[in-house]
Amino acid sequence: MAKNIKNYLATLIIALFVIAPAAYAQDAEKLIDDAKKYYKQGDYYKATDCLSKATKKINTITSEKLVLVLPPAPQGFTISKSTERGEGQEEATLGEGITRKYKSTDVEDAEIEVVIITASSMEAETQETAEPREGQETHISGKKAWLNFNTEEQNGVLEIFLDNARVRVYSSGFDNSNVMVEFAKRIDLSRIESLTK
Amino acid sequence: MGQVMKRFKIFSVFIVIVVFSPVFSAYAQSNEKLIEEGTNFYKSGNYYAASKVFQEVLIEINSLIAKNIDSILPVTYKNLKLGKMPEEEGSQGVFTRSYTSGNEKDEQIIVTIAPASILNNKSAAPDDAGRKAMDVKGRKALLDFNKEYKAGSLEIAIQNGSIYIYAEGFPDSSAIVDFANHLELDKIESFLK
Repeated sequence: MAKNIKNYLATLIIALFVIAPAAYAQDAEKLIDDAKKYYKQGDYYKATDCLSKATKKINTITSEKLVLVLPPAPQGFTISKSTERGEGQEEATLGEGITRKYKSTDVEDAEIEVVIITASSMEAETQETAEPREGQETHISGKKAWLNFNTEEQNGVLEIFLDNARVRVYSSGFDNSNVMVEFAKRIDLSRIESLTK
Repeated sequence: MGQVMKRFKIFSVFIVIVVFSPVFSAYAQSNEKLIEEGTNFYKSGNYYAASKVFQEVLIEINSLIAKNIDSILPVTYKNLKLGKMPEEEGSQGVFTRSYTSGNEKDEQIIVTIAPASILNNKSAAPDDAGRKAMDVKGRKALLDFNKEYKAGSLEIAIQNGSIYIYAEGFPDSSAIVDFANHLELDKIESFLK
């Protein structure tokens, strides 16, 4: 009985991840076609309205794919909070964070938060152009990163730069940066890069 | 002499049409090309690239709408002159234009036009928080003027958008209301349809 319920739930979850983006894609396609039509007619306002809505739907597809990149909770952690489309947003826009918080089951009040931020065209900072941050420069899976950890306050952040995205791993309640770095190494950075090309 | 002047005028109009038609046409073509490029990215599953291209197109079309609206704003109002529109103005949808006399201490009027898409498609009717409701050319408007500070605002709800006028250096609200009545609201609305 329990196995049947598990199978049913697994099928449902898979179906949701397949059907939802497909529905968004259909909507977006119609909106793009409408935008083209309005633009050709000289109805610029209507064209921008359709294009703006289409862009939001397209960003939602990207966001939903990026959510799948967030690592599952490793041993000693539980997922405490996950935001899939940007805080309080029905549809995602570029530049919003996709976050997941992991609460430690071993260390009291300790948690790790992973945030994926897709850079908008206005604020794109590539690996080459990224301004130095506070802390020390390091590399995670071959990507440039800045590690800033305050041992006294037991918190810190590791910021990894990809060409069109940034990944931040925040740590609080741990007495060193090792957990944060280990978390960062578990993130599939090349998948994030391929989704934000 | 009169005949020569008339011919010169016709010739000038002809030159303007010949010079500017290809400019606008090039604008339209490049945007159409970009939309096509974004569509191709989208169809091939490169959603991020598609989104970036469409954002670029949105900036271009918004700038085009802003330029169109700017072209029908009064060039002067009494002793105030409309300044030159900065290149990037309007690219995000909303745009602001200023009327000044050139002397910072004098009166000034600032007009901000925001399409409904910027207002998240909410009703363009402004909130009446302590403001005086009035009518400007048949549109609902709200006036807020402080005689002590010689400054105030008038927000007009237009179809698919809102016009916010701020004025300072005037003894009362008559100038801001008069300025609003100088605006071609029908034409502004036609660019936001």
